[in-house]
Amino acid sequence: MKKIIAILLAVVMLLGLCACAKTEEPAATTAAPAADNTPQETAAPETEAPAVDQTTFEELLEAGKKNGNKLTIYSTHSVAVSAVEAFANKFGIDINMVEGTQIGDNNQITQVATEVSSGVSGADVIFIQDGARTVSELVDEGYVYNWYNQEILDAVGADCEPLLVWDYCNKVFIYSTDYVAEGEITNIWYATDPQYAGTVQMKNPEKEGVNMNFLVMLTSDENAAKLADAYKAYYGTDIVLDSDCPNAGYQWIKMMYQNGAVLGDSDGDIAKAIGNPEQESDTKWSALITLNKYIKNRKDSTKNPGSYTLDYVKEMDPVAGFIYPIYGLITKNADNPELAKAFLVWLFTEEGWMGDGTTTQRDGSVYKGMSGRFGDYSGNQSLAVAEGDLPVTEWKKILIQEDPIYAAAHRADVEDFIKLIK
Amino acid sequence: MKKTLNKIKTFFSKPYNILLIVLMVTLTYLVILPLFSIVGDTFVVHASEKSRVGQPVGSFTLYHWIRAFASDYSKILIWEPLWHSLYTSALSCVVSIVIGGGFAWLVTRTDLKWKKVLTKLFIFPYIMPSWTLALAWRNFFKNAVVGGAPGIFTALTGITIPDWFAYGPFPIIVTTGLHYSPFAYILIGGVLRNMDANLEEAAIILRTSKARMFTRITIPMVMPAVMSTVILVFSSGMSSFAVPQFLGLPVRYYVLTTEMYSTIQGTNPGVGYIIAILMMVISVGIMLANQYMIGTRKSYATVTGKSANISLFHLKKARTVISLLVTLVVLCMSVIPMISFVLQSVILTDGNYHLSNMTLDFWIGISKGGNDYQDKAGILRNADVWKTLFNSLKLSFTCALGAGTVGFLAGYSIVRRRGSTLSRFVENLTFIPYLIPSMAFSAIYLSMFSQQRGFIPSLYGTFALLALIGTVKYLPMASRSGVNSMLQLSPEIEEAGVIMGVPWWKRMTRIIVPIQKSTIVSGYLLPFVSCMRELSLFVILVTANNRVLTTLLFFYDEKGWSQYGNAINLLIIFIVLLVNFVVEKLTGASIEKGVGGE
Repeated sequence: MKKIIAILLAVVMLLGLCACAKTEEPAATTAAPAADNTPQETAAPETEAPAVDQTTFEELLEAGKKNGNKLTIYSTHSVAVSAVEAFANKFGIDINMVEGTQIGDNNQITQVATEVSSGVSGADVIFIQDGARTVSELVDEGYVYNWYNQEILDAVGADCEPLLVWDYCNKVFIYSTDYVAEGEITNIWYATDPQYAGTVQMKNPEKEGVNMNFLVMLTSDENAAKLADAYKAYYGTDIVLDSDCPNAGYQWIKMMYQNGAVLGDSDGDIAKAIGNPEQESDTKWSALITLNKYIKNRKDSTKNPGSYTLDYVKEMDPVAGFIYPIYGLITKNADNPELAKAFLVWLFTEEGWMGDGTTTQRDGSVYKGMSGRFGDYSGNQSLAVAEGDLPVTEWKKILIQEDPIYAAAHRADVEDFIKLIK
Repeated sequence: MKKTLNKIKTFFSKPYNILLIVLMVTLTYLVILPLFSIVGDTFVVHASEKSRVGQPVGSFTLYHWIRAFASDYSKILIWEPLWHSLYTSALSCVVSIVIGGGFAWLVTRTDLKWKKVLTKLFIFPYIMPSWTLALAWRNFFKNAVVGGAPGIFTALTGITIPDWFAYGPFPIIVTTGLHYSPFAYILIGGVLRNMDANLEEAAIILRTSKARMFTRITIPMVMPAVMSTVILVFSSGMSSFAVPQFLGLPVRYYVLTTEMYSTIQGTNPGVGYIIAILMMVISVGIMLANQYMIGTRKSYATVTGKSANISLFHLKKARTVISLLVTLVVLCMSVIPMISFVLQSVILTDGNYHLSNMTLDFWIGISKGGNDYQDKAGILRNADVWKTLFNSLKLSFTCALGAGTVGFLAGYSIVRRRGSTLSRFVENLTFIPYLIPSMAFSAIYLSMFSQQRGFIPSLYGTFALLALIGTVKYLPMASRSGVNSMLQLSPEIEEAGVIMGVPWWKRMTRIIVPIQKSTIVSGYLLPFVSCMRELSLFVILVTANNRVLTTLLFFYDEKGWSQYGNAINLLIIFIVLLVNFVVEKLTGASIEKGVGGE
């Protein structure tokens, strides 16, 4: 017991020292390497061409089978888990030689970083969202790397860099059709308007990083300028920034939070909450959630529980939400990197994305992949999207896209900012 | 020289000395070293903090300490959550004592009806996972503050629930207080039941009024038990995670544990470790207070044996009314939450409780092959759930076996060498895990055992790591009850065996174990049950391949698959009750008997 007390005392003393020292708080913004100019341009296929891996799918598959080790994938998205099972069945690989597990992004980052750094065999390929943390904690640390061959490059193009995009997901503003009129919400500043106080929901950005990355993207110079214009369009006056807000992006975040934004645990719950036909209040509910969850719960959905009254905002000044990628990356200590790569290549083909109608998954049901799913768009933009959904190129015009490098560099600033305003 | 050698030889000829030495070495490694490790962690840059601190990973920094205690963020990161933790824990104690103590008084001292059933049901919350009442509260009293259908209560009565009642400190205090009120009942009830009737009879002879008897005799008698309850409930409240997570987060009401979780899972784990240390400091404070109080409690040892049956206080006309009222409260704590889970696990659209909106698909439906939640197999047909269930049972069994056995042996050797420095040191070692908040403990183990350490390979992602942390964390429960029961066992009994030349293992299996059977079984049961419903200890350590039921519940809850979540919750409760019931029937040991250990 005495020992603990001694330790604790020591800690308290150190604490006192820290307090006395009062050293300048380490500048959080002394930019991570290569932070400022986004290397999108350098990713142009022409300039990269000579360096691109020329091994083909067949070669990788052969080598992977010869390697004989198990192919393990971690994914934030359930379809990738089904896909690896279908992949095994399709190409005559023993189903027990593949394993897919769904793991959320925060846990996945911890797990992959720990496994690779301590040499524990884990995933061969990961499918992960939250580009900011993926870049700074996995890519920069060398635990995972970006890989694509000529086949993927031909299918995906610019989205091979800086990190290969397997799947785009979008989050758009949806609203309760019972209480909000169509066309009522047209400007993102509505979320700061007192008449919508306490009615705007989104998933807690501290819980799900892609939401935080969206807020980070809003504070970029380019987006902040657009927001300033939109402010004028909404309120009719030029924006006046608070002293703690460096630009209109920060100002929007602050006003949105202080207007009583409701931060939920899951997009599905939020969709059910705002579109619930049983609720009595006439609150003007709206929310920023994944289109996929919106579709599943919408009233005219063919699926059973979808009896919630919802619609989504088609046009909004300056943006109607955001689009974030799920990246496909190879781990440094992959047991079977060849098979992992072959799997990646296959995912960008039509049958990898949507199934071929016959190949089954582990439980015997037919692999349907992303077919019919709203709100999921392949990095290979030539693949069809669900009937009634827009192609990703259209979505990109009205949504802010996550730039993992920019978000990684500025994430801490925005997180700290939010800590103080909430 | 020879003398010393002989001394050493004699020392090691005693099995309990060997036990103490082994315990000292292993526990130092498993308990003390982690404390250093976590302090170290508050001075380095973690991977997620690179851009924030502006230094490479692993380098030395004072950033976390400055940020926690001397920056604009101190209030939001430390002081506010600290105040919330202290405030909700303190008031939870009041609720526990009023409800649990009141119930204890009614059961032991009055002619309350249906005592047998009521006492069984009253223990329920203690056996159930700590978040049970919080989840039930949410199912019942959900209001429009986060949108969605109102809870069952509003659906039934049409009364709208105010915000302060639905989320935030009030429900946290009430649900935590109710959850731990069985503590108060067991501890205070024990005193009331065994109280020397002479005291009260003397008062009656002297024509003392009932009120005066209550304030001058009953209250002072139960005071030590009340203080023990305060300490137990307060420290449990301080380290509770799931309840404030469910009821506080929707209105951004953070306590220390939820703030720690968000920093450790987020991008500033350094501050999270500081919060962990802060929580340990508070725990140590509570424990010192406890020791001080136990020291003074000795002077209260007026219980000399039961001289007569205490006359029961007659509730007279109020008997039926009070009995019904108590029944209502007890049902609200035990049966009604279960009903809410059943309801939530069968409805399709939230808030619609018509029969047409119900289905058993979430329990027994077959897989439809898709990736949406309504396509998944019901939990009783889902291979993942079965695998997880099996893993949970295996883990609970292992931890119970480990903690129970080590705890019993520790209790034995500590008592045999009572008074020696070594014994005291080991006793404190076995108790330290109790002081480390579960989540902090797992965070430490994560950083300690994720790399090769000497001959121990990296344990990350293995079952062994979960079993190890569970065993160490639940050791205090088993060793406490081991020490307490061994203290009651006179050493002469064993010494008789020593004189007869009976070898040590035979003395243990033939003498000690049979006598202590019921305590030993409690020592296994308590870790088993705790492990079965443990969340915060495993939530960081579990990897996708060795999930346990509780983390699966959280996984479903986070995805918004509330039907599966509620169904799994029921499954956990069912297993815990079943195990408790079977063990109680077979051995007579029960959870209640082990309460002092937690």
